[in-house]
Amino acid sequence: MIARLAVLAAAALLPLSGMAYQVVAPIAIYVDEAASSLVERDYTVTVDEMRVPVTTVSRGPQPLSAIVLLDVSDSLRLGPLVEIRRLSGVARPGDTIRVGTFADRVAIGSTAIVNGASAAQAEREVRQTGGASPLWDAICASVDALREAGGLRVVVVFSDALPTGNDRSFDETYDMVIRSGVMVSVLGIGDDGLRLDGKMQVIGRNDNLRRLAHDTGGEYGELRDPKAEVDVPARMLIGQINRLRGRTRLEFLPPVRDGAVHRVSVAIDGRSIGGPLWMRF
Amino acid sequence: MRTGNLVVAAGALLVLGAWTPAQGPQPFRAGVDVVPIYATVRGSNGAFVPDLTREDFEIKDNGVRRDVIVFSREIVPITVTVMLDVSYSLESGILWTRDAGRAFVDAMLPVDRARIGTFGREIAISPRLTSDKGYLHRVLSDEVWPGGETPLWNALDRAMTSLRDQSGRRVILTLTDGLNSVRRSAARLSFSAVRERVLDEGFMVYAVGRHVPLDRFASVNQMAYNGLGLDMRELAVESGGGYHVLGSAVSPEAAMREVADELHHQYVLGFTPTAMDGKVHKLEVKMKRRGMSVQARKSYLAVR
Repeated sequence: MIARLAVLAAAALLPLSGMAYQVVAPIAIYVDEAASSLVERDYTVTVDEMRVPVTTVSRGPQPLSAIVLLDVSDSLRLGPLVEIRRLSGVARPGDTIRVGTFADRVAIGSTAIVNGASAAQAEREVRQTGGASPLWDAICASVDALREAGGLRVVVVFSDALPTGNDRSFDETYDMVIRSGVMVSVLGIGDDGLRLDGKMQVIGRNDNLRRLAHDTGGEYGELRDPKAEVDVPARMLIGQINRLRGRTRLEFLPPVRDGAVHRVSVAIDGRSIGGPLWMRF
Repeated sequence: MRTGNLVVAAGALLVLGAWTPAQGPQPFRAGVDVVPIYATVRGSNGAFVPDLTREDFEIKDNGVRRDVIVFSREIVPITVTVMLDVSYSLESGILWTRDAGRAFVDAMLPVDRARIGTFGREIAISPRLTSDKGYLHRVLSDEVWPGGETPLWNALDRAMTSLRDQSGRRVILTLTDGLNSVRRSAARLSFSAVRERVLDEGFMVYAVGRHVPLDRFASVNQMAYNGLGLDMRELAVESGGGYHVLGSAVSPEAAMREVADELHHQYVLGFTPTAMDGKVHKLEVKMKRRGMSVQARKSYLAVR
């Protein structure tokens, strides 16, 4: 899997026509290939099928700027729900991990979780009981909240993917996320994992979240056991965050900086290690 | 709740004829309290009667005849929250609901504004009150999910809240296939509480129901009011709105167009109340001409 875009301080010069040059900052992506023997030349990064040079390889752990975004809508009132206090041990030095919830409103907390007390404070900030599922609005709000953040910026979403009450459409959300360079990582709920009080199997329910995760380089996983213990979804989220933190950061020089969305792939010895993902630069 | 939205200033109604979307409904006090009534008049053939004058109407407030001091037959823009019952377990029910919602949106005029809501596992209402049909169609396509119970009264209450900051005629249109049914919610509302709010705050309610197959264990009430509960029917009529009950083979589009058409053909009447006594007044609207029927709300709350 490969991940996200970041603009670095160090810049390079990209030749334009004649004697003109464009100042180009390297772009960062995060891959989950962590073999310590690999160096810059071992990675093949292509942008729109054009190979570009990798300038830096930095192995994990990566500092995370994350928002763990939890669906607490009425469609999940039978569970499973994530108890925020169970996330108290999620952060490592250098991380800034906050929580958000969505139901009748979108609430993004300001407290970074570093221990049990801060997790309790974060829980108080975003507590709400049931309501609609403005999933897309909540992802957009989370991306906004990460706009100025550093490190690996990621929204880690837990949801049953039944969006309602949104002002923004999925397409608008997808466009905003890709343009922001923020990764979306998802813990969804498989059809078998839904606790239902009536028949409701909707084909393609998780497709949009899966696409967001794939195209931004995030993980996509599903909870499949409707009788899972209460700590299971929290443990799955923490596991996902730990794997994201362990990724390797690659920096490369883009061939253009035209503000368009580009297709980026990474391979090692001709073997794709994820993607393609979509980046705007 | 007794917030008494029903009595507005005369000036607010007097400008209805010149109302434009850009201006919006802007009530202001002109020193005279006026009770607005939105009335639908049909001829003996069921068609709307479009060319009446104020002299054709008779209004009684608690049995006392009142002069019609405000009259308009201009189109009043629709301000509506459409609440779709998605508690179906069958895909066909959801498709029916979507089609019905789309038909109503398609029948909206550019000056009309709507929100789309659903109720079932959740009660959700789109945040934007809008004339943008693309936005409303997107909500219908992407945010209608089947399953759950039928929290009908809670849903109507939420719909009213979604329009509480609007003035003028505020409409709740619901599509449902059944009766209120909430087993688990501790915060469920009663019919009487919702009815009181509808009447006190002057909302107009329309309901479109659909006959559903019943099994042999169905209750007498379910059999008698298959498609739409008695309470829902009474509430719609009492509020000055109306209801339709469709057979399962009937397309909902015609019913939805009918509701939109009706809202576009209502007369606006206004009168000064007999007393601002904080009580619910019985309201009677009658036609002086024969062969016509009028549909309007049956009461109002006389609160300043």
